[in-house]
Amino acid sequence: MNLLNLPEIQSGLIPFVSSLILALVLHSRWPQWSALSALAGFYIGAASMGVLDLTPTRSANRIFLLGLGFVALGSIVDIITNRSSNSSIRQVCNPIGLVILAIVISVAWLIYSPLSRQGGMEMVGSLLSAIAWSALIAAGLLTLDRQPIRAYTAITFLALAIGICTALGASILLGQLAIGLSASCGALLLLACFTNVQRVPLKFIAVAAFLCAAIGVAGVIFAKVTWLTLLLLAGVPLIVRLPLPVAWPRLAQASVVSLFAALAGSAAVSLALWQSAQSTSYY
Amino acid sequence: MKKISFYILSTALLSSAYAADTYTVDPGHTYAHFAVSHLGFSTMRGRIDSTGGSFTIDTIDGNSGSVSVKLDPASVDTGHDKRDDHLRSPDFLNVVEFPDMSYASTSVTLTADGGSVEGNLTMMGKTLPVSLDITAMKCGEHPFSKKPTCGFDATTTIKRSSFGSQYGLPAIGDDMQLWIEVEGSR
Repeated sequence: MNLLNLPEIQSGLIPFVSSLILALVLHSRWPQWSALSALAGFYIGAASMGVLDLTPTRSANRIFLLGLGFVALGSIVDIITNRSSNSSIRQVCNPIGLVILAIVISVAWLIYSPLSRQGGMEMVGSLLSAIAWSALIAAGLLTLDRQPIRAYTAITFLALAIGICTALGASILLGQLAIGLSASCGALLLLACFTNVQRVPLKFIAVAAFLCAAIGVAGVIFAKVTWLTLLLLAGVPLIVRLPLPVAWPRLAQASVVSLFAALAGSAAVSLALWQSAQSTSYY
Repeated sequence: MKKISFYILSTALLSSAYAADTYTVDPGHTYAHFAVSHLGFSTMRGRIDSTGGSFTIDTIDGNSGSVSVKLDPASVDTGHDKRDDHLRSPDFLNVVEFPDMSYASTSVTLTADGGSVEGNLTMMGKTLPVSLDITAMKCGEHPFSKKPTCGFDATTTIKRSSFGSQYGLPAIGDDMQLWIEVEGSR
């Protein structure tokens, strides 16, 4: 059997290993860019699944393209937030707020076309739910930029839970993409436990937040994930903020935060599992 | 003389019944069936229903015609609800983004034992040329409705990856056999 065709290799091993190797190489010379190794791992995982193509235009490849767009946006915001001479800009507008707005608009644009066929209050309800959830996830993750252990843990377990719920819903493809993001971010979490990373660049968190929001909402619109499941998933970026003793080693902090993030994620997964169990498996 | 005139008139009337007449597709008797290899263990078969269309048959002018059939990919039925949900998802037919599926001919050639159809299949937002082999065809009066009715079976094989369905390759087969059964009346 060709190992590259196994889903656990495509969405687990390949993104994790490629992300870890790239992060180790970049960390020593260009630490500001090492976080993007997780995005590279995500795209490499998607390519190994054979779904990284641009035609015909559909939600999956729009997600890939928008993700790259958010690298550019996040890089600009990183420059703005790092330079104190730009404080006048920050008085006019909150850069993180702009990124949150961009994520919300992008997710709404992503699902507007299929939703518009529904019309009526169903469309309005779905659109508002998507906007609210995207804003929650974006705000929850982007405000963790100065707490790398919590940020990486939140993204890892949020993406993992989204992936499992979406796969249990109806789309294994979307599920594998989210699990691939989780695996590649897990490599960064591992690295953060043993290095002195002080900050997660927004160029990474912006993309990760967009991918989590977009895949989660896509799971509702295109697969059979429920809004209630997404509501439970919104608890992951919140629960990682529990207070921890500063003196604890990073590995200990990551372990405790991961435990709570896993508990929060497993609540959503349990709901998705229960809903999925209503019909028999066909594999 | 009268007998000859009668036969000439009858032939002309019967011929005109099939000469470039347009038939409206009966969605209740028009389907697309498909078969795909499932992990190499067995062949998975399913059905997609039709929502309408039309076809013409011209047995006088070069035994030709045309066909246009609309299909509803959301109606996919493989006998298992959860698998059908999976087939409707972005992994395969992606019915929420691409609710329309259709086949429209560009040329039809009818022969004594069937014929062939050249045309375009639109699936998952992509339109590609696909040829059909007509394996059976019959025209006549429907015994219940008494309407002139025609029907035919056609078959082809496509590669689902050509239409953008990459998920699960090669474990879930790329070759997708299609059988299109069409019936219509006028």
